[in-house]
Amino acid sequence: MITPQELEQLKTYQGTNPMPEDFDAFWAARMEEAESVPLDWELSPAAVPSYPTCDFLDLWFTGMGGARLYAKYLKPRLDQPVPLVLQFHGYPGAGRSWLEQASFAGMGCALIALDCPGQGGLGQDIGGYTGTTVTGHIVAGLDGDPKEMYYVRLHQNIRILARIVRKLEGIDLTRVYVNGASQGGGIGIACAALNPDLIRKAAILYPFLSDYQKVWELGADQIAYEGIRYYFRWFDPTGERRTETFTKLGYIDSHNFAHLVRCEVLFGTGLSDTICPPATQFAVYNNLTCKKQHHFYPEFEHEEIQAFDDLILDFFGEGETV
Amino acid sequence: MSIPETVKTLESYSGSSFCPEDFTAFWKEQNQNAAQPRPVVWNRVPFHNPMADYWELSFPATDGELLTARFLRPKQGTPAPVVLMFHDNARRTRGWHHMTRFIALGYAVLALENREGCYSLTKGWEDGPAGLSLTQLYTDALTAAHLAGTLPGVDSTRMLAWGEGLGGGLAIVTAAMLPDRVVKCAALHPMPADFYKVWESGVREGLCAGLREQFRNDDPAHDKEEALFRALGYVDLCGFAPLLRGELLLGTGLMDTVALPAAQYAVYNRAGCSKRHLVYPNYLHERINFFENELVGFFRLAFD
Repeated sequence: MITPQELEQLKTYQGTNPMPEDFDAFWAARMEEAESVPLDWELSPAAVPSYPTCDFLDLWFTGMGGARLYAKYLKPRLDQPVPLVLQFHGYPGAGRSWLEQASFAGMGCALIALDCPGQGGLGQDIGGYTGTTVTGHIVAGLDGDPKEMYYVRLHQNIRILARIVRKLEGIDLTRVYVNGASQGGGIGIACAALNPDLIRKAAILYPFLSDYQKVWELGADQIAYEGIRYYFRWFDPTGERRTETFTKLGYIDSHNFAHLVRCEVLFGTGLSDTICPPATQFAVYNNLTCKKQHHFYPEFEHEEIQAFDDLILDFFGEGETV
Repeated sequence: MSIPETVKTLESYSGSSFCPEDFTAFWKEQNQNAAQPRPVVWNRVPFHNPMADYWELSFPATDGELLTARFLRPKQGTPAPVVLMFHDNARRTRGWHHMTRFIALGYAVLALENREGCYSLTKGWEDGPAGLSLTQLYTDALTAAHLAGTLPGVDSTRMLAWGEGLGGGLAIVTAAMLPDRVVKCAALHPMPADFYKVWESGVREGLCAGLREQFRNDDPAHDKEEALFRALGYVDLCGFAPLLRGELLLGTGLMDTVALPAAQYAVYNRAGCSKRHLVYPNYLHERINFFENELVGFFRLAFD
């Protein structure tokens, strides 16, 4: 829980982790690489049965480096093109149950829920990262060229997925949305930033992958962020390369992506969050220059916040008709 | 005992608690009271969802207390099957967005909000079975189930019951007492059941948290222990299980410390209906995504 005074300070906090000077150019080049990958994807019936009202489908596609990647695809059976939600899951894990994902189909939206590779889902993690992985995908590839880091590849794979979205039948491409909490929120911000011509709205709850240096300064480099602590303990115990390390992590920092987001953002923070410290979330929000709204939940930690989920009904549904 | 040995033992375990002789007659009477027509106040919740309409309903319980429930229904089409959704004791009714998942399947949802102060196992136990708090909660669930069948846009012949924990218990109660209407019942780690076994096994969490205090404060030498557990027989899911006629899907996490797995097996083993038990050795009293996936297939009705 934070005090009203602390909350006021957070409202102007811009973040601590450095942004690499070539951040925008770096990502423009990465997206060009992802654009050059030939599209290879297929849809097939999922293990659960489809309903007269909704299809449940497996989506397999080839990502960077030839990795076979997996996503759940749900599509309501409606006569006209439907909006689509790109859904990203928390860390680690996989896209949650088909039933849980169906809420968006119940709103008349198709949904794609990507399994981040190597986190417990079906997608293939082809590895090959230079240096340690320890625990935590944040540091996977940290010792090599930044363009080979885990999350760089992931954001490139999401660009490939975005290209597939444009090929799907029956999707209203003027209404493609992003939804995600925690890691899903961090990825969602990056997805909106790197695919501005596609993403119209983003619902982001307590984003992870943000302001790594602040996380470290707060001693919050534990649990989901624990890779940072292990990395420094074992590979840079006196912090001689700390600036270099945080600068490199800056390429995959949600708060550095914020300035590139052009779509409207619905943003939620549990102010008692100890996994993703509120300051690191405000760093993302405060750097957003798009239309945005920030909802606070003082008694909530890093957990399901149904009051926020209920806001999504109107945020994605307002003004829309089927 | 190893996990395989435990499972083997439990597969033939049918409970060790007392089931009253007049159990069925008692609940038949409660069910008749619950089935009486009652006025409903509708308050629309104006979400911008082109696929569904949302309401908060309020209606009187059998004892006059005002109950509330969330109701959502597909906008278009013929009368929809309805999911009777019940919640666990450690939480309130699920959010609107959460429940919208059933709209995708073409189903309406009625989700009862459990009344406050209904979770005491022992309150009123010496006043007869009608005095138990859980008796009133179960009757509230039956009231909501009967009401669901009268709501416009609902197909009262195709009702599905679903819940987790205590909500799973309420789903079983409604399926048992409305066997002609509730065609399928899914319960994840249902409770409460087999009270004596639960007590004997040292479960002191959840609904059972008050049992120890009951003995310490009112019956320190356990003089009334047998009478207490006999009284609880009226609200034991083991008594409802043989009344089930539709299909049952039951899920159990073997590491559950809130709803004793043995008690869940006792419920399952007493059910004589078409049934399936999914057992998850490394899960606690928690959401199980794999069970939710099974639910999609289980709840798929034959569509015309």
